[in-house]
Amino acid sequence: MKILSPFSKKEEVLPLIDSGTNELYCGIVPREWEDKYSIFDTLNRREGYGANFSVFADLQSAIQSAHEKNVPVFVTMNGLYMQEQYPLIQKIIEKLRNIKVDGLIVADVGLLLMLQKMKFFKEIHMGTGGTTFNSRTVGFYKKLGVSRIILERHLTIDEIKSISQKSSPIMDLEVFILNTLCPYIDGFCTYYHGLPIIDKEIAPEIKIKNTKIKFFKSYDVNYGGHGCGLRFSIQAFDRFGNRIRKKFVISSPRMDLNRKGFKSCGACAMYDFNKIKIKSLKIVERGASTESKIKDIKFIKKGLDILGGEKNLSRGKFIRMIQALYRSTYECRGCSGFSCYYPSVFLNRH
Amino acid sequence: MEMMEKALFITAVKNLKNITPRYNRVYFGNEFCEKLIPQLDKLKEIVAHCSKKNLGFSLVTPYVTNSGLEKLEKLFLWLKSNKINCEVIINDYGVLDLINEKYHILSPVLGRLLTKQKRDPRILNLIKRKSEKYRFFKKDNEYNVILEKKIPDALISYFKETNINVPVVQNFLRDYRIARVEIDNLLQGMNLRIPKRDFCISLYVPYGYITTTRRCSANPFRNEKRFFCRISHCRKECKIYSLKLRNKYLPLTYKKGNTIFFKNNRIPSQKELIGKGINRVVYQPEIPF
Repeated sequence: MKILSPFSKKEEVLPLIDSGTNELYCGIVPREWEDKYSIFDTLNRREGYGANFSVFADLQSAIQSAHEKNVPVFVTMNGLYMQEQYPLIQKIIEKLRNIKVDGLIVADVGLLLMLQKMKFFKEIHMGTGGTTFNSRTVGFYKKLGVSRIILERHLTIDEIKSISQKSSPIMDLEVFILNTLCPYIDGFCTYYHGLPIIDKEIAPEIKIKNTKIKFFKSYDVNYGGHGCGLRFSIQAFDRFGNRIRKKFVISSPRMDLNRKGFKSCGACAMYDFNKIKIKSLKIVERGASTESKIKDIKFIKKGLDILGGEKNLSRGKFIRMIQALYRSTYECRGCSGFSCYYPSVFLNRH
Repeated sequence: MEMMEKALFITAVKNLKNITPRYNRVYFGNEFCEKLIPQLDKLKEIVAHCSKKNLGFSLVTPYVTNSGLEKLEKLFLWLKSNKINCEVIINDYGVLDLINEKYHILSPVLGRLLTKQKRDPRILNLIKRKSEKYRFFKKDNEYNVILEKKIPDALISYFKETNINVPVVQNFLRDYRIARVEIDNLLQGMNLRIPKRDFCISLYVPYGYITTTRRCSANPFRNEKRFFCRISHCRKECKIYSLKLRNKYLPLTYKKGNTIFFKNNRIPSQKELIGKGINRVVYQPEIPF
């Protein structure tokens, strides 16, 4: 199995490769796009300034460094696009081809059909936005020119195994392994991501006596960030419409999933993924610091080394070893069902 | 004047009693959970009722794993062997592929999970802003001065769009025998540019879906670790509980089963609907679970 790691700066390429990643992916939001659509997540599903390249020359230099080490670079274009955006998208895609991007990660069927005609890239990966839950969908995307499917993170190990076994023709499969476990189904979630409460500092901070004054711009200070991060006051009703309990508040699923001290992780499932012949393990969080990305790669790499190191390694032993590694790497108490990508591993239903 | 078809979305056989003469079609099934795929005997009852009352019938199907696909295939097989030429609302491209390969008697309709609209209710406030203004916030000993900007004009249009407006997608739908697409009644309005000669459009009212999950927490009182675990034992709590979710940033939303919905009580007039190419309204008297 390969490790696919995110990157967002050209300086990250060599340290990440040295740490053990076999493949890299990133996003780009060119100035031309930002001028028209701002930082909203319309070009790819990771908004913000820190997560994406903005200049093609920087990306080109990153790709050259990666290619010198025989590491492919994929670019994510997993937004959903409207007709007026296609001319600009086409321009971006042509530039990506010219700087020798190895493949694109997409979600939109319209873009996929356009790429099928262009034949620009060796590889087209269908992201989780493509909502692949069964082997028929794998075959469907194969016919449209997809070379790899990134499986929906809400699938169980059994379901992934079934997809892998029944998919015909055979398709490269990729799964999520670390970070950002989303509580909702990516391709069916329409909560808008691309709008932080505070967007950008627009003037330097000033200080009058002991009081600091900061200047920001925002699109809506009441927006509240990601929809999945909202807290709700809830009333519950029974089947007859009667209120059944006093009003109560629950935190959002995202808050539970990414609780302090826990890191979304699916490393225990690596044992099964190895047997299922998953092609690539995807680490998420393009906007994370370089140190954090390196730590993640080394953790997964060590997991792969454990798998490859002992011939008759049992599943139970692997899980014990990887959990100990998780605790020591991330200095946390242990695993949480909330932040586990593949809880079916623990319920012996595989 | 073009004919406006009225369909009633039901999720249980007992709700057949709600069909009044104003409706000329029945939607039956579920879009969001394969555990709620109808049993064959229930399907038979509904089909028999529709046939007796001369009503159109549409089977609503969810996104499915391989196991859900097998369940659906049993229903498709029965429909085919009984020569029942009905619509199947598709929310999974694998199901579309299956129908086109083996069940040509069935007419696939692109469901609302696959007609990509921007459904976040907060978008309404964003696009309503007419001018930029400054807002001041005090936090401890720190003042924040925030310039609230108007969103770019290009985005106002973007938020009203659907992927079905894109000609290359329309060609693809034609190739896959899709002649009808289903959309939600967005709070911020809709820009539809879908050729009437090739496609019909259905509008769901009053509930539109926002998001869905397999980490189902249909029982709000089961406060266990497996609460968020998608493989926890399903006791079909979605059939019992419904939730109203309140947050100051968005209009009242609703949760039933694994899905969150908004409600839009403003149903466009028949003239407006026909102008947009919509010739069917799908009524959901309750959240479809």
